[in-house]
Amino acid sequence: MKAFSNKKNKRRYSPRRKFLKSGLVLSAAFISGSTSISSCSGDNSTKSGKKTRLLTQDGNLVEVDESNIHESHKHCIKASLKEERKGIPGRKFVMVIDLAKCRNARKCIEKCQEAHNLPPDQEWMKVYLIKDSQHTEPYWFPKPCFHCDNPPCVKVCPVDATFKRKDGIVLIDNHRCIGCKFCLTGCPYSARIYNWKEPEIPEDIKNQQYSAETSVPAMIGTVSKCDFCPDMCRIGKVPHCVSACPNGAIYYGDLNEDAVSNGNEVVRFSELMSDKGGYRYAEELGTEPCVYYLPPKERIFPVKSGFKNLSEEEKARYKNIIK
Amino acid sequence: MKIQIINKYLFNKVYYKILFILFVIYSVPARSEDNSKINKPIKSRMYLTYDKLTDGTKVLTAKLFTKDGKIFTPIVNAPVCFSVENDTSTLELGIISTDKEGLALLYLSKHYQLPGNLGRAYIFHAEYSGNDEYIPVDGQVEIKDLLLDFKLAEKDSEKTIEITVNEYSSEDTLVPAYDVEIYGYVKRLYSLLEIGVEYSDDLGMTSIEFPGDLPGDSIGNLTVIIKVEDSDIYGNVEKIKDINWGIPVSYKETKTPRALWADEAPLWMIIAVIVILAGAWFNFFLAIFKLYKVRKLGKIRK
Amino acid sequence: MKPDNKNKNLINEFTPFLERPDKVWFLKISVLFLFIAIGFYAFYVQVKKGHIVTGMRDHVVWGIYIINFIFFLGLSYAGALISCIFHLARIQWGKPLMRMLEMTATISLVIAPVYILLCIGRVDRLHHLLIYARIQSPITWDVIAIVTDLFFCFVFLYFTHIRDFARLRDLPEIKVSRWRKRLYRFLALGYRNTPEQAKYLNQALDIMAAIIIPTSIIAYSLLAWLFGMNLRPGWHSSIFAPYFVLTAVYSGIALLIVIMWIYRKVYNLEKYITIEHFYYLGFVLIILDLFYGYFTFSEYITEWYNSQKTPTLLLYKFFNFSEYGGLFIFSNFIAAFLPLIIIGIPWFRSVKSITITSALVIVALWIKRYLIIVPTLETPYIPIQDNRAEWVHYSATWVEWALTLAGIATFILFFIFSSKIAPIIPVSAMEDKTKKIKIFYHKKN
Repeated sequence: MKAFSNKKNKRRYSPRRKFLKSGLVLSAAFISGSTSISSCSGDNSTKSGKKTRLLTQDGNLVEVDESNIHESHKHCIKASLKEERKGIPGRKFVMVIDLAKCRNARKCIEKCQEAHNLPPDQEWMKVYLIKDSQHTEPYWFPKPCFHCDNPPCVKVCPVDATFKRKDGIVLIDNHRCIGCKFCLTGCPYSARIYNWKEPEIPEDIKNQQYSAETSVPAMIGTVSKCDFCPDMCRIGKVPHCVSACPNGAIYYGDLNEDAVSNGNEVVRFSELMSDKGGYRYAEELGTEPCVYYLPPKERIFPVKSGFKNLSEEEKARYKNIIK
Repeated sequence: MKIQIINKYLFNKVYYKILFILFVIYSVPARSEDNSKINKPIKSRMYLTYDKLTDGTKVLTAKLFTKDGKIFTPIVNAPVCFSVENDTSTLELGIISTDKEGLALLYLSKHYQLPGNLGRAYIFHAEYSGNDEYIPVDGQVEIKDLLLDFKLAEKDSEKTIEITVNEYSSEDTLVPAYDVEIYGYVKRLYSLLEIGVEYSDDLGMTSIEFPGDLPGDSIGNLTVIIKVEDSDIYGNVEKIKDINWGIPVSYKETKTPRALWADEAPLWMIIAVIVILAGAWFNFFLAIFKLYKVRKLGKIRK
Repeated sequence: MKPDNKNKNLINEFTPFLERPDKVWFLKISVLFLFIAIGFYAFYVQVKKGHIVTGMRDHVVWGIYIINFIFFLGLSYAGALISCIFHLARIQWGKPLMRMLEMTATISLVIAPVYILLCIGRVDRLHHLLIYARIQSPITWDVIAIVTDLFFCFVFLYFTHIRDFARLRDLPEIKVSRWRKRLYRFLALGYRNTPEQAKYLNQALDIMAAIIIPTSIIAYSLLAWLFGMNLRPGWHSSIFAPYFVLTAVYSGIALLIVIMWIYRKVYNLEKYITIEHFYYLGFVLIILDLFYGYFTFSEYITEWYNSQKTPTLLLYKFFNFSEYGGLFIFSNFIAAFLPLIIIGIPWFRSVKSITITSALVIVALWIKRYLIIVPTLETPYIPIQDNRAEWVHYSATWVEWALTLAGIATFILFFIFSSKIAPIIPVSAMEDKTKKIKIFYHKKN
């Protein structure tokens, strides 16, 4: 029974079954067989029992019953809480950030804030300017949640509100969190954010059912953080920060497939690691992060270019590094 | 007399005032309507692409949009008329409305015979006749049908994909297509992973080496996609096959270990807590029992 | 110090304190209530607006609430520990101090968890701690430990009161209301001081005392581990648990001296709380002071010698006067040296100087907790880069200070109330002087 339901879910959430494009199919006798379908906009009500062919997202043609179209789309957006705690089967998500390509454009932060209804002062992705030692060159250091495989934040949670999924993602159940803030002190990377006041989000979003995968809506007195956007994966898209980066500095993908994508190109994770000297931040802490970094070698942008679009206030953040 | 005076009075002042106000009220929306009419229709743009899918289905995709600076806006629900031209004859294929992304897709089944000579290029048209808001626009692609196929060969543990490309000669017979740029891909979660690019030789053949260490699914299956991309002559052509060359990845749901971060705590921890608590509370109840004896003795004395 | 054996009717000396209070008493109470009311208002503001009204932010997520929690819990465990040791070791001169210690233990154990509740963002979900409890979390350990300790302390406190309640019940001339008399009768459990009853009661007391000692040590160690388990410079230290326990006992002794002094003044107890009491406890204070200095030195020297990057950054903050230098020097000078000088050198030694030193030590140890919590949180592994000043540096707001004062006021208030219910000194135990208390590990004779 369990295996069966897993299989069912796997199929349901597989990107292959997402019908995102609409069109018109011409059969051999193309005039009589033409059918118009709009699967996503949902403005046309289609009759059941009629077979129709659709172009799937990855370019395959599939034949489905029309009555399934709306149904399957509806379900692909939100998984149940139980599913959310389990994770997407067979996946192991990783992120690779190429420090050579980051110039603090802050597009990842902006897009992330927009997608998760965050106020401007809450940054799930933070960009630090790091100068490791006196004679080394500073570099921009984008830092999401590391989704550690040995997560110190999950260890200390007294109520299982934050949890580690099978696919490697660490999420938060906002309805269970008691706001003890222990996970904030537990995280050595300061990745977590506390909702100190009533979040200012539109009423209709506030009334939404909370989903751990989207981390929306935020709730006062609870914790939130970067969620690696598994909801985007369920519709076959890369996380918001990845697609927003103008320089393609952030790669995201499945370690089991040995492939990561920055939205434009797909590269083999193992090649990236071996060719560019990938590493993890603060390996000695033993937290086993799922975020890898490529050293800032052969940089595309000088460090200073990162100050270009910053307000004076934002520049003040880095005053200790560059004097 | 009096009425007349009032009438006059009204007629002179209030009446004109009301008239003026009414005029203003009604003229404002009228004017704005006029403005929109005065506006020039916006220039519309169209991309027309041709894709030949793995099963031989041909897809014409017309993307209709407008451009304002760097912002592209799709034109939604606009009828696009597709037609095909070969030799001298033109055939209308159908009219399709664009969806919310501004896309109109036309599928041509592989059984559907396009009229005319296969050896010559087909000219596909897509035409948008425009309306009050948008200027008409059309697109055109010239495509020669390409037959793409590949098979898998394994020699001395070296795995290669052997690709053949053919086209039709003017006599309607198959001849090799040479110097065609061919891409090899493997399907991954978010997009396609490139495994090689080659050009076909005089025999219309080429091969792409398949990396031996690519993970597949649980039994090692993975999807190979061979593509001709954005060719001026052939458009986009692709062929997809599932092969068993991947390294099997165990997707078996392993039980989460007992760990500090997992749902279940390490055994020693649970045992330690139970032992400590049991020890403490045992003594507590022992003390309470002694107290109960004190109370009992007190009652007896009474 | 050397009460004569004739004080059989000691109880009569203390009954006046239990009788109807005067006007000054009510004035004191109302002042304390005023502080508590301000605290309640601050709490209301915090509930209404969220934790944004406190000085806590994303980096310094725990502020003086947690510091007060550690402080009060430390006093509690110290009180329990010392009283149980006095009890088990049959330290005769410690008898008059027992009730103070037990009251300290119980009252501060009631107040301390309140600060944890103030620190929790969703108090409405407190039951989640039970229904979703994870044994891996140090918070769960702490919840279990505090609940257990609360039970044990209350029961031990009651056990030590039984004899006094029995004495009060048997005093016909005491001028208290009828419900109080009935209460004494009920709580005395029919205790008549028969040899058999005395035996059982002593056994019960010994068992409780014996079990409270490890419980309080474990519970306070768990609290230390709550910090020690975090990957943070300054917290991630194996010395933390013994350091915490020692600091707790140190602050507990210091508070005991201050309470002794106040009782002496308020209730004129010079006969029972003698100069020797101050001296003896002063010497204990010196020993603890030396231990404290040793622990502190060993904590910082190891951090400094290895000079790891982030711990060193934290250490520099302690020696930088624009950061925590002032507080660090103040706290460590007082806690590690002042008792040694003032109590150690006979010339300075007096009841007053010992008391003042103790009061200063209490303050210094509160600051010590501040220095444990706040600078560490301000120094994460990835240095804070924020343009919001309040996100970088913690400073407590009026809400937090109001609730801190309310906590202290509640502590004093509970002490005053408790002194109205039972004698402030375990009179029956002191009357019992002539009798030899059987030690529980003796074989049956």
